[in-house]
Amino acid sequence: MNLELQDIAAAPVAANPARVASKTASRVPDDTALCGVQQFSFTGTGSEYFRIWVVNLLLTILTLGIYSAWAKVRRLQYFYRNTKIAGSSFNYHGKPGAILKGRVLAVALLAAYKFSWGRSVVASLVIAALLAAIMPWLLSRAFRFKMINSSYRGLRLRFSGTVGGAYKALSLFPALLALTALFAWTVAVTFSRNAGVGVYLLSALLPLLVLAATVPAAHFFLKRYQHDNAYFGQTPFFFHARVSDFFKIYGRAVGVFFLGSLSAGVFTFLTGRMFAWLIHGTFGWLFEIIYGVLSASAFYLFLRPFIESRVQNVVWNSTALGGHQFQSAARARALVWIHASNLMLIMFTFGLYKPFATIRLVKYKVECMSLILDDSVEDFLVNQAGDNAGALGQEAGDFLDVDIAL
Amino acid sequence: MIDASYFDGQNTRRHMVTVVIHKRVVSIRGAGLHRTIRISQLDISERLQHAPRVLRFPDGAFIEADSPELTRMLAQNSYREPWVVRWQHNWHLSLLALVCLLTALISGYQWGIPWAADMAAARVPAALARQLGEGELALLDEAMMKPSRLAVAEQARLRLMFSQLAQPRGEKTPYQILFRDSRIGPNAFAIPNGVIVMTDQMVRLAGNDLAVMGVLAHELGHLQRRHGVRALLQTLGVAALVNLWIGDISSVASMAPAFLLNQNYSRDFERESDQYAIDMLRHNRLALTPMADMFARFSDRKALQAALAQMDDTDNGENDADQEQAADDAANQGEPDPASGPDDESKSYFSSHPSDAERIARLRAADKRL
Repeated sequence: MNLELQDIAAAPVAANPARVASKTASRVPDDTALCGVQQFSFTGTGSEYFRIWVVNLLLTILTLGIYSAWAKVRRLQYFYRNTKIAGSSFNYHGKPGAILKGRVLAVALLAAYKFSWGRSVVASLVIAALLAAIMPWLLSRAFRFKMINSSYRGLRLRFSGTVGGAYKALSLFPALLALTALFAWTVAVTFSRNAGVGVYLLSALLPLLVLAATVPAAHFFLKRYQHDNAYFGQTPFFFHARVSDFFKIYGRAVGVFFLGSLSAGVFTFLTGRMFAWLIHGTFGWLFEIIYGVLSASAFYLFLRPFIESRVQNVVWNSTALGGHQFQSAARARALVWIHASNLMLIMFTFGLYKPFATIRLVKYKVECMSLILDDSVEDFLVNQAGDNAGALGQEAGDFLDVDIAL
Repeated sequence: MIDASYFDGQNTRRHMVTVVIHKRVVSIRGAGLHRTIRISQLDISERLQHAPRVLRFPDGAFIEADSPELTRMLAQNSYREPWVVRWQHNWHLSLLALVCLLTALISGYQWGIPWAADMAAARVPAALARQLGEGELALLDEAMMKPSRLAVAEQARLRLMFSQLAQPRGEKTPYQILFRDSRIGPNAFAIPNGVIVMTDQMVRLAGNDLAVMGVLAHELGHLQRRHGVRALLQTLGVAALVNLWIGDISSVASMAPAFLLNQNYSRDFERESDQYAIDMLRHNRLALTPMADMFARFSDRKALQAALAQMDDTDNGENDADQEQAADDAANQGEPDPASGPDDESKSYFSSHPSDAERIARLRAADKRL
């Protein structure tokens, strides 16, 4: 999953009453009537983003990657400022300098890891352990940076999750996995003299089972950490999803996958001879490639949109800002179509369609969301602790920013 | 004068105001509100087509207004957009950027990555290359090889014969020749730790000492030019390039272009090694025609297999070829290319080796010049 895209969908986390509609460009309508369901909208267009993307990429290459921090700010500003609710848009305030610092750190860590890899096993293990150990810390800093640099109607978002919380939310998964692996290994070693099928099966299946049990749980804990610790000005976000919701999503995803491969198997069985004939034809090689890409993308095309849409819905339908409830109605079918057609168009245009594809996807994911305003409020207040435009909170956030894909 | 929204930065309440910019001074008025400030003191957000524009006061308050009119007013007061923004808003300049970008990417692929990989490969510590090679050899032995059934005397004779050939340009590339019985048909491999693996099947197919020497020289060429390590580094470079260009659309989808781009590099390496074999054999005044004949025989064998497969309408032969191809790719520097046949031309983009016809022609041409 790509956190950046999720970010954009996740960034719009605030709202307020505002105008209902304004067709006449500069007429500013009255806010007082605002209440009820407010739809998120996204006004970015592929043709405009295409130019931003091209210039960003060129300058990044010409500056050997240094410009990428500025590129990120321009890109995020494009997505934030084009995301609107209740007549106002979001804004992004990240400073390229801070982002550059974060990137230098990330590259240094990666380089240290790659460098140590071939040298000695001990060194690479130490670095890998170090990376794993600081990951939760990095993540909590990154959330904090992202939130404090996002604003709506002049109020900043804020993330109050502690580093300790990040360790609790994130270390469960690897710790459990390591423990089980250790256990399976011990079992296998103990019984290896007269190992039966059962032991082998157990030692092979156990890690899989643990994986099945921990991935949804880890995803849940991460989302809870992210959403339960966020504030808009003084107003807290509340996250009330349950672990079982995530287990249901992943359970269904496994079901979808098996059903999918079952039908694919039947299809292959029925068309086997035709397939063989086509392969040997003049354009067999072309057919082979298309078929290969299609089957290889099965996961990407079906499973990912399924999980993506369901998780977005569960997460946002379980998130409230003070007394205002978020809603999300993303559909897996629509996402499958968007992903599939994006993939095809990107292939046929040798990648030139990429910025258009990004806009399409973000537009869909943003416009699936709405906020039900509890009452006609215009009174979200700045947090007096001073993390608004003030210096204190921003300094903490400015410390570093790291892109982490989850 | 335009209408705008004013937010004081302390709460989310919207105040309706009017904005006037005159002589580089911004003045806003609303109910109980009047602020004036110089343009230069405002933090002005960049222009976007469909998003409102934000003018921020130093104290965090700001006005939000639809961008076309505000942009016009700013321009009238000689506010200049940053040059990147002007660039992004100009279609001609953006397309020019696209052309520059494509040029940079293509030349990076064509020259930049191979050059960088070559430079870096020379600096890869020998220990690392050895470690890489040992792993590769172990994998190869486990997956596709059995101990050689060639007579020890015959092995020694071939080793001695090759060691008596002088390397071209006086080079002293260290190498070690191992013989193996192959489960995947005739093949030969060069492994980064300086090991050349020669299969019994290859020796039998060659049927001629000169052809065996040619194959060994070709593999020595892979070693001398550090193709193993360079291929590894180039794969990293290509992955970075593809990731930069299409980002993370999906790991599977970005693998396909990366694979095709790498195959092109692989063909270049094979050509380079063929040239090395030509140099080495000519340096020792040996003929290349036996090697060319061997390729021709190999090519015929594959054509026959393919024809049989098509006649039977079973895909046995094709399967074999695919397996060979897969094995070949896995070991990176395999010798003859099994994936060519009558439809050589169409497949050449996807093949790790140049076509047999091309290689045979080059070898024969080298002999004519002798």
